[in-house]
Amino acid sequence: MAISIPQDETARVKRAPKQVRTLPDSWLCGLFLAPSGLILALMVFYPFFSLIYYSTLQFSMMRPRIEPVDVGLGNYVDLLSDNEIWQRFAFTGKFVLATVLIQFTIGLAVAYAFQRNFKGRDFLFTLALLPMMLCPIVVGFLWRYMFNSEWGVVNWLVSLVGIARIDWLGRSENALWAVAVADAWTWTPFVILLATAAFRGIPKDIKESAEIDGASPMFTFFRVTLPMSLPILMIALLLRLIDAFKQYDLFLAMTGGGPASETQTAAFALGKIAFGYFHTGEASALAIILLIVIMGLSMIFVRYLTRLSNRA
Amino acid sequence: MAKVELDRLTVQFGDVSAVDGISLVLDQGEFIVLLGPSGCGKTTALRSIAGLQHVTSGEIRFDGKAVTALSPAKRNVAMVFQFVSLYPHLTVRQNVAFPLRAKGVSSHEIAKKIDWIAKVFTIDDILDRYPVGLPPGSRQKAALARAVVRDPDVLLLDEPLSAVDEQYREEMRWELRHLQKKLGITTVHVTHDQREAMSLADRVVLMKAGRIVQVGSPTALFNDPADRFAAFFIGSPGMNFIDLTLAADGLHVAADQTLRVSAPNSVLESARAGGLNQIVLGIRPHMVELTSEEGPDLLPATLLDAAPVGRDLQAQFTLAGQTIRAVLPLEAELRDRRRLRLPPAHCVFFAPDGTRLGER
Amino acid sequence: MSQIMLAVQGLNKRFGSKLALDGIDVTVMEGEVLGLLGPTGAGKTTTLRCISGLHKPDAGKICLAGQDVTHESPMVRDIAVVFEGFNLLPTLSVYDNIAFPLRSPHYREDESEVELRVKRAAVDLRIDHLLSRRTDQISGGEGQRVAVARALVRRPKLFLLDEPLSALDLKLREALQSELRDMYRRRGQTLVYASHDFLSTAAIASRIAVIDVGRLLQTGTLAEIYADPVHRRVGELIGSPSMALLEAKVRDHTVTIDGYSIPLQLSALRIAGLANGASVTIGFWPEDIGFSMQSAPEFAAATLWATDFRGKDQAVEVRFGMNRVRKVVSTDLRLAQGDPCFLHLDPAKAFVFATSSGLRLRADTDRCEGQ
Repeated sequence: MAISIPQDETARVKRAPKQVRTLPDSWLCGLFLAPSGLILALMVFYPFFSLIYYSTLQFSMMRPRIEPVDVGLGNYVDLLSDNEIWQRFAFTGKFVLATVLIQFTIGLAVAYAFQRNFKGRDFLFTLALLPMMLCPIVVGFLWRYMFNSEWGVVNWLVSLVGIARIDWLGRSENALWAVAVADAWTWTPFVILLATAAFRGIPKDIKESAEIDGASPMFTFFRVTLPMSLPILMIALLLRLIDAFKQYDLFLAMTGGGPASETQTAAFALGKIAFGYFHTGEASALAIILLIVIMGLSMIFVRYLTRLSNRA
Repeated sequence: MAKVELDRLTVQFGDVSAVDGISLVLDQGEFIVLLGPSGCGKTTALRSIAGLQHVTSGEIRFDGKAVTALSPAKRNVAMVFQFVSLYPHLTVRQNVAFPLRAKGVSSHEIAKKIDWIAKVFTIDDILDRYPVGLPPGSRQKAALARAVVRDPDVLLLDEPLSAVDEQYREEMRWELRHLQKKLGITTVHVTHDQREAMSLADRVVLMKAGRIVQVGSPTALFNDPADRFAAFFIGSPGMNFIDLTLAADGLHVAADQTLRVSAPNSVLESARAGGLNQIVLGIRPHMVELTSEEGPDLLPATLLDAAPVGRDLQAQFTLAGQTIRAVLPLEAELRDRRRLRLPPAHCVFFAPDGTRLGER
Repeated sequence: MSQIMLAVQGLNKRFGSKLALDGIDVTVMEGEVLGLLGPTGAGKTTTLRCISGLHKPDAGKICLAGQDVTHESPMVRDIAVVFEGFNLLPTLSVYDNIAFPLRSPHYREDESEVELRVKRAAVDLRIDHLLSRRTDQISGGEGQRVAVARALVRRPKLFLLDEPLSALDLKLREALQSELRDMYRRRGQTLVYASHDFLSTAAIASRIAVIDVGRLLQTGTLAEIYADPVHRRVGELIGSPSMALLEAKVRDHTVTIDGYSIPLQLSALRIAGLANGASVTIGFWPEDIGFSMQSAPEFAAATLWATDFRGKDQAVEVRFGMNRVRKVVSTDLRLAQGDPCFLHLDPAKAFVFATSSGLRLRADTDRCEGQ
C-alpha cells in the first residue's frame, strides 16, 4: 500500500541551515523598552521623588542662598491643621460635584436622544462637539463676560423671566455654579461622545431582544443600555473628576480666586503658594496631598471597573 | 401557542426580493425549520415574523389575527439569537426574569415562574451565574428559558446552535427537540445545516433565493424531493446524480448503450413529452446495492475506493466515467461483487433543468 | 515493508501551570493516516505543533523517518501543516501562496520548477482556475484546498492536518473529505489528522488515537477499539451515537442497572472481585442494544425521550432511571416522544468500567471499586 516517493520529487535541502545566534528574548525586550524607560525616569520619576524630598523641607526656590530647613512632616502638619486649606478642599469638592453632575445629566440625556437616527442628527452632533475644541482660558473669558453682572448675556436672560440681577462672579456661592456651568459647557460634549460610543457598542441582538421582550424604551435604557455602558461611563466619570479637580484656567479668568480667596480651588491655592509666595516646600507638600486624594479616588474607580469587567 | 400564517409575504431591499411572496401555514405546536443556503431569505422571513423586519407586502397572521403592523413587543413572540442572547450584566436568574419585569409582573409570580422554568430546562445550577463564565450550550439553554418563561405565542430561533461548539451541538439538538415537544410552543427555527433541520423539524421549509422550494416532513424531503436542488441539499452523504440518455429503446447510462436502466412509465412519458433525450437519475448512497449476480438492470462498475466509516463501508465506484457513492454494510464483500443495482423504488428522476420527472 | 514514518515518545508539554501533554507515545507507519481524535482542549493541536516544531516539548523524543528531529527547527523537518484557519497569506495571490514554501531560502527551487509543481498541485485539487485570485476573493472551501495545495507542493514526508474541515459546512466538508482521502491514497502520503469530530476522522483515518486531557487513551483501528475499549472516555468519544454508559450497582451476584428492571448476572459479565454494594459503569455499544416497541422476554421497559431523524435512519434517546441510551433504528418505526419502549441488554456485550477511574475492568482483574 505504501508508494515510495520518487526521488527527484522530494524537495532537496539546497543549503544547510545557518546557525543564527540571536539575543535572548529578555535582552531584546529590555533594549526596546530602554528609551521609554529613560524618558519616564527623567520626566516622571526624578521630578516625583524630588517633590517628595522638597515636601520635607522649608525653603523657597526664589531664595537659593538661604539654607533649606529640614522639617520632616512639618509642612504636612501645618497644611492639614490650617482651616483655610480645608475650606479650599471643601470648595473644590463642591465644584467638582456641581460640574460633573451637570455634565452627566445633560450628556446622557443628549446621547439618549441621539440613539435614534433623525434628520440632521449628524450635523447637530458635530455642532455639539465644538465647545471641547476651545482653549480653556478663552472659554474662561467668554463666560466671564457672559456672566458679567452689569451687561452680561446671562443676567439679561434672567431679567427676561422677571428675576433681579444676580452677582454671579462676586459671590462664591454663585461663582461656584457659574464656573461649573462654564466647565460643563466645555466638557459635556466629551460625555456625549463617550456615552454615544458606549450606547452604539451594545450589540444589536441585545437591543432587539429587549424590544421583543416587550420592554419600553425607558425600561431598556435604564435596565440594559446604561448598565451595559457602565465601564465606558465610569472611565468618562473618572476622567471628568480628575480634570475638575485640576481646574485652574477657568477660575483664573473668571474670578481670579476671589473675592479674597473664596473661590480658590485646591489647585488654585497650590498655584498661589508655589508661584505667588514661592513657599516651595509647602507647595510640594500640598501637591503630594492633592495627588494622594486624586489617586485614592482613581483606585476606587479602577477597583470597581475591574469588578465590572470580570463580570461581563 | 398560536397558529401562524404567512400570506404572500414579500420583503424587498431596493430591487432585490429577499423574500419573494411566500405563503405558509404552521399548525399550533409545530416545529418548523426554515432551511436553505445563505442568502435564501430564511432569516429575513424569521425577522419579519418577529416584527424586526419591515414587510414590503403580504400579511402575517397569528390565530387568524393580522400582526403585520404590530411592533415586536405587541406580538407576544420570543426570539433566541445566534450569538449574544443574554444580557451580560445580569445573572441568569435576572435574565429569565427580565421579560416578566418589563411587563410589570409581581415579584412573587416571577419567583414561581423561574422555579418552574429552571426545572424544565435544568438550569437550576446556573441561575445565579453570569453569562460570561458559562459554556455556549448552557447560555443558549438559559436564553431559551428566558424566551419561553412568558408563554409566547410563537418561539423564533435564529440559528441558535451555530455558535455552539460542534461537540455540544448534538446534545443541544436532543434537548431542544425534547423540550419543544414537552412545552408544545409553535416554533420556527432557521438553519443552513440540513442535518439539524432533519433532526428537529416536524416539517421542513426548504428555501432558495427568497422562494419556497419544498415544504414537507423530513421523510418527505428525504425520499421525495421536489427538484434536484432539494435532492442535493438534503442528506449526507449527498445524493448520487447519474446522467442518462433517453433513446428509443429506453434509458441507458450516458455514453454506454449496454448499461440499461429502468424507470417508471410516468417518468418516460414526461421525458418524451418534454422532448428530452437527457435526464438525470438520483439515488441516495445507502440505497445503492452491490451484487455479484448478472442480468439486465445490473450495472457493472469499477471499484475506486472503499473506506470504513463508523459501522458502514463507504465505497466509490465509476460507471462509464461517472462516480457513484454507495454506503454498504461493513461486512460487504467487495471483491467478487461488481454490479450495482439501483432499485427503481428508490430512484428519482430529473430533467436537465432540475425539475422532477414523473409522479411524486 | 513499510517503515515507521513518525515515532513520538514520551512527549510532555506544560504551559505555565497547565500540563497540556502528559507523556504522548505514538507511531505512524509510512502511508497510513492516523486520526487524532479528542475533544477541544485535549491536546491535539499542541501535539501537532510539537511534532512540527512550532512548540518545543519539555520532554520526549520525535523521530521522523528514523531521524531524531526533536531539537531541529521547523524549517528543517520535512513536515507540512494544514492549519484549522488555513493561515493563508492575505497579501499574496493563490499562486504565490502555494509557491511560498518552494521559494523559501531553505528549499529554493528554480521558478520553472516552482511553476510546474504549483500547477500540478492546483490541478490535483481543482483550483487551477483560481491561481491568479487573491485570498480574500475565494470561498471557504477553496481556501481549504489552497491550504492543502500549499502543503502538498513540497512533497513532505509527513502531513499534519489540524481540524482542517471544521470551518466548513457539511456539504463542503463531505466533498473535501473524500478528496483528501483520494489524495493520500494515490500518493501514499503519511497523514496525521486531528479532529474532535468522530465521523470525519473515521472517514479518513486507517487508525485512530484517542486523546483526552493530554493523554493518549487508546490507539488502534476502529475494529480494535470497538472490540476492546480501555476507558469509558474512549466509549464516549467513539461512535455516532457513542457508547451508552449506564450506572449500576453490584448486589449479591447480580449487577443492577439503575432503572432497568432486569439485573445482569455477575457471572455473565466475567469480572471477578466486585464488592457487594460497589458502583460500576456498564458500557454498551448502541448497535449491541436490542430495541423494540413491544414487550418481549428479556426486554425491560423504558421511555422514549426524543427522536432524531437522520435521513436513512433515525436515532432515538431512551431513558430509564437516571440512565439514557441513544441508538439508531430504522425509519420504518413510527415513534413519538413519550412512547413506552423496550430494551435488551446482553451481558456478553457489556464492557465494565470502574466508576471512579473510568478504567476498563477485565476478567483477569481482581480489583474492586468502591464508591
